[in-house]
Amino acid sequence: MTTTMTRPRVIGPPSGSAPNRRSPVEEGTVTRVRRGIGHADAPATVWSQARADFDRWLGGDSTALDDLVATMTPVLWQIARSYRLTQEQAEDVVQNTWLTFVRKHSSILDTTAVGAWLTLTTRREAWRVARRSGRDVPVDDEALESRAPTQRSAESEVVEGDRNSRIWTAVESLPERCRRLLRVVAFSARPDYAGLAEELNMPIGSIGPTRGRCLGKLRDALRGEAQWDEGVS
Amino acid sequence: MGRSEEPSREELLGLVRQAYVAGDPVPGGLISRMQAAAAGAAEESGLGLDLELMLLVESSSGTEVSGVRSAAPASARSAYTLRFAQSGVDVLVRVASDSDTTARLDGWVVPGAPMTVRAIRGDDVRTPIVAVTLGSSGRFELTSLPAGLIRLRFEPADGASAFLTPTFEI
Repeated sequence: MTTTMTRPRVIGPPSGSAPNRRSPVEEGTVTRVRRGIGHADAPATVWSQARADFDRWLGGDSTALDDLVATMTPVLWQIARSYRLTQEQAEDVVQNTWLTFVRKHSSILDTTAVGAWLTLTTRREAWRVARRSGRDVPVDDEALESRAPTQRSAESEVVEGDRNSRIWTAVESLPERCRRLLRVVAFSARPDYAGLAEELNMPIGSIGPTRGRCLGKLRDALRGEAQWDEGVS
Repeated sequence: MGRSEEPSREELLGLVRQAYVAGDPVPGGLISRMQAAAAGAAEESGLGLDLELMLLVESSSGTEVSGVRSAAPASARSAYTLRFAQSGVDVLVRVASDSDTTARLDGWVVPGAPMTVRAIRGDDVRTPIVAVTLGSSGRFELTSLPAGLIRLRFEPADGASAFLTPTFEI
């Protein structure tokens, strides 16, 4: 296998062929939904899958765009909903992210950054919409701590299974600032502290300590649920 | 179990994900609605539909081609040039080795316009796509590309159809 060649080898269709058309659709119009996305998957899996999808799309496989959307939409949904948006608002935000992505994907030179680009675009748009509808400022921790439980409503009814509902109860018992911070961090590729500080109206230097405190509260809340010895797996 | 009682930071964040994925799941049909929106936008802007496959119109080895800057090291004795064309766009590429295992490309797009150029692997080599932006000079260079098969993709900044070369070996 020599690495230098005196003769270029070109692989491709014979000259004279028509410009490439959309590659044939392999699975009809069936929605391609991936297994296991969303999800509590290790984030690293999601980001590398997103990169692989983006790479394939750039290579001319138009079905890869569907895959990328299927990989990332559940994550973007979670990010958008972190900003107290209604379902309709969150859906608009996620859709705008995809439209922006299609228009501006050429600006993403490093394809490994596609997940981070998508989550950041979603956050900015979600925050903009939240501000416009007066939902942007998280209520003070103190004010919320006492009434957090009453905020569990329709959402918590959907939760199935003891274990999930215990975790949900613990997460929902956190002050709103904590919930937003942890939710954004949990679903982001590389959460930027500067952006978070602006959105949460906090000094940038306090994001790290606040996150630590919030995780501590979650730990306590889980312990309070008294089932911790089952393990985390 | 053999686990410590205190969950780690990563485990806690994993539980946060688990809680929200179960407690505030993606609405039914959202993914297919987003797929339709993205596909519609891609078609509207000519992506996919009008991806232009460039044709190899000329190849030569060992000779300098006027107009292509030769910044390659002396070791690049086996340089060669390729010329691709489609729909009035011409691309001249000079391929040379820049180390024992990597190659560099010096290219020239005519007519020049701001665009993104990406080197996309045409084989199973797991290396990231390499990309640069180029201005109206139409000149670009991609360095330290691992040997193997690649294609070049040109994405005009004005949103016009992207061009894709056939796969070639470097």
